[in-house]
Amino acid sequence: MATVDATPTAESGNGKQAPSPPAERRSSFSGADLALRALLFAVTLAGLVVLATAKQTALVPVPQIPGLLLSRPAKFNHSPALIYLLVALCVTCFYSLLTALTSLKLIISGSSPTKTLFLLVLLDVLYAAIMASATGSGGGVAWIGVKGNTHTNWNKICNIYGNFCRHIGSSVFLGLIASIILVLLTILNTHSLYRRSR
Amino acid sequence: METSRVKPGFNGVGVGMGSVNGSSRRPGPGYGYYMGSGAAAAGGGRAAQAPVDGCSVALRVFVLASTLVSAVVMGVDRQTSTIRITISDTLPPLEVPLTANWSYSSAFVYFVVANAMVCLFSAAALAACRSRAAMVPVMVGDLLALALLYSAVGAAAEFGILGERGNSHVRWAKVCNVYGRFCERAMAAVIVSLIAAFANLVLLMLSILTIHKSSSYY
Repeated sequence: MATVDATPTAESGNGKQAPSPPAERRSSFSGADLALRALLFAVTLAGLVVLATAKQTALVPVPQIPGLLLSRPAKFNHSPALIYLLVALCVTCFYSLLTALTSLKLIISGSSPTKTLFLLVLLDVLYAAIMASATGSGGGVAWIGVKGNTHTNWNKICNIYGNFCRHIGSSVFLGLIASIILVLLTILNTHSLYRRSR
Repeated sequence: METSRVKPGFNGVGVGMGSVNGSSRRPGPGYGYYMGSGAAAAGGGRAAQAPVDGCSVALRVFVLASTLVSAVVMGVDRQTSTIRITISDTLPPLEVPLTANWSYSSAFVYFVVANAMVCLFSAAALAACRSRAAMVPVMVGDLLALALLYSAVGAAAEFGILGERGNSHVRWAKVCNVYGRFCERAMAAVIVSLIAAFANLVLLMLSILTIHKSSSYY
C-alpha cells in the first residue's frame, strides 16, 4: 500500500516541479512557432497575389498563316496545375492564419497542452503534403513553359509571355518556401512533443 | 491499482514494473530526469532498444515495395509507335516510327529519382527501426521523404494530364492518342506512388501518435 500512498505525492510533485526547467525553453519555442506561422501566412498570401495577378496578353504568331500575329491572353486558370497551386496556397493561407491565432492564444495563456500540439503537428504534416504536391505540379508546368519539350513538340512559351512566366515562377518559388516552412514547423513541434516524452 | 488507469511513468509503480519485467510500454526516463538518477539509470538500461510497432513496420515495407514498383514501372516505360503521315493523295502514306521514353520528360526523371531515393531511405529506416537513437533522424527523414514523394507525384501527374488532354491555350497537343500504352503505364506508376505517399503520411502520423502517447503530459 505504500505505492498507493506515494502515487499522489509523486504526481503532485511532478505537476509542481516538472514544468519549471523546460518552461523557459518551451516559451521560446512557441515564439519561434508563432514567427514561422506568421512567415507562412505572409509567404502564402504573397504567392496567392502573385499567382492571381499572372495575366498577360501577347501577340502570338499563327503557325498556319505566316506573318499573321494574333493577340492571345495567358492566364493562370488555363492550366489545371496552376489552379491546384492557387487552391493549395489559398487553403494554406487560411490555415496559417488560424494556427497563428491559436499559437498566439497559447502564448498568452502561457500553457501549451500536448493535445493541441499533437493536432497542430498532424495538420502541419497534412498541409506540408498538400503544398509539396502543389509545388511539384506547378513547378512541372512552369518547367515545360521555360524549357519546352521537343519530344512531344510542346514549344516553350516563356519567350512570348515573359511577364506571365515571371509571375508563375515566383509563385512556385513562394510555394516551395511555404512547404519548407511547414516541414520546419513540423520538426519544431515534434521536437517539443518528443522532449516531453523523455 | 492506480497503474491500470494512470499512464506508466507518472508514478513510481510504473517505473519499478517497467524496469523489472519490461511489460510497460515506456519506462518513463523523463520521470527519472525529474525524480532522481536512480530511476534514470533504470530507464537508461532499456533505452537502446525501441519498441517495434508491427503496424508501422508493415507500412514501411509497403512503402518500400510500392516505391520500388513504381520506379521500376516508370523506368522501363518506353514505346515505339508508327504514325502515318499523308503528304498527298497520290503518294502512299509515309510511316514514321516515333519513340516515347520516360527520360524524355524531366518530370518523369524526377519521379524515378525521388521514388528510388524514398525506396533506399525506407530500406535504411527498416534496418534501423530497432534502435532508439535513430528514432528522430528516421522521423525527420520520413518527413522529407513525404515532401519529396508528394512533389514527384504532383509533377508526374501534371505531365501525365498534359499528355492526356494537352493544353489548347498554348498549343500543346495531347500525345496519349499516339502513345497509349506508355501513358497507361506512366499513370499506373503515378497511382502506385500516390498510394505509397499516403502510406508514408499514415506512417508519419502513427509515429507522431506514438510520441504523443508517450509524452509525460498525456
